[in-house]
Amino acid sequence: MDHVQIAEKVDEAAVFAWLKTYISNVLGMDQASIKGSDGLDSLGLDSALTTALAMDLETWLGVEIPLAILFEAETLDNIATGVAREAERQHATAG
Amino acid sequence: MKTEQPDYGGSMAAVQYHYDVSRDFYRLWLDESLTYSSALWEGEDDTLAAAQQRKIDHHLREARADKAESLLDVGCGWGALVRKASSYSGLKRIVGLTLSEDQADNVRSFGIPQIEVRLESWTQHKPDRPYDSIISVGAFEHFAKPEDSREVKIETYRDFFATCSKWLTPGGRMSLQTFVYGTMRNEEASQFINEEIFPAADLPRLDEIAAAADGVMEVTYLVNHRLHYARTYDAWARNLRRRRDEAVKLVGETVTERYERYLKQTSIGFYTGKIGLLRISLRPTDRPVSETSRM
Repeated sequence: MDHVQIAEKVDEAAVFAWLKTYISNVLGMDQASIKGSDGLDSLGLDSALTTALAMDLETWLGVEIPLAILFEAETLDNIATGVAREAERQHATAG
Repeated sequence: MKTEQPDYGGSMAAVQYHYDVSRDFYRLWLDESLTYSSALWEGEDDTLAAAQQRKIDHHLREARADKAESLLDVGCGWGALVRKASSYSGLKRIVGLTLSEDQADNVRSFGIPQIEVRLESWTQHKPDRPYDSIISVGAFEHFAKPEDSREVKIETYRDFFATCSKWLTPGGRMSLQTFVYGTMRNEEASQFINEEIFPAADLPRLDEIAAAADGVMEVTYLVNHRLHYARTYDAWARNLRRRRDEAVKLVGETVTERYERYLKQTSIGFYTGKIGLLRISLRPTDRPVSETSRM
């Protein structure tokens, strides 16, 4: 991947904050109204917006995030956990 | 068969739009066999190449290729399936149909004498002898056009089943794999996918396939493997992203970006169930011997 700004240290909280900001921007929602128990689908992200989110998330993290991680999780909290774990795993593998 | 309509049963211009971008471009993100359809995955550590071969083996098994002398592949792509079929010593005659010149060239380049590749649609194909096995992977979804009514779609699919049934020997078997609309209504179908990626195609629905096969072919196996295709599309998306720089050199930034988005978005469509992936095994409905001997 080219010209990627790699996030220094990502934990669940950082991923959740990123998701909240991103979703509030694309859907024009108040950040405070987005909860960890919400799901991508229930918030109203269609497949085009979810595609953009997945690609931008990878660019932000500088690692590949299998879509399975986004879809095996029901809630934003669970997505944040899965994504942070995957990013950690890939950074560890890359040394 | 209504061969007088130039686009009936699959538009050549539409197929070439999608598949003749450049073989080298597809080579960047497909597996080495250039299989451009859903894999059949097993376990977490599976590889795309192994999962594609497993899918090919599934269709060869379902079409009973091990007992066959002749096999037809409708929509043979770059030839991974016909190539694998040529390893069956009993198979003396393997015919692949494609509408893409580039795909036909690739199959010819194998130089395998029992394989014949033909640049024609199933509506133009006139076999002089029946086949023991028919396989069609990723072609059925190109048969109907967006403007076709449900009745016209069913009629087209029924024509396909009747044609295949007529081409099969009495004990012959068919194995089919196709995209279908899942929880998505036709009119919700992403404009982006329909217009930019697969122009002039409309996906089938399970009920349309069932109605079309009714009385013509019996469905002996049917599964919706949408998560297998979700994983396949995501694997392709990640392959393309890894080799993005090479892709941009080959096809430019715009096409690369269009494919990145299409691969991810289609994967998401399968994950959410908006689209499905059916693998279906069929056999001709029993008929009198006098009928089966008349080709």
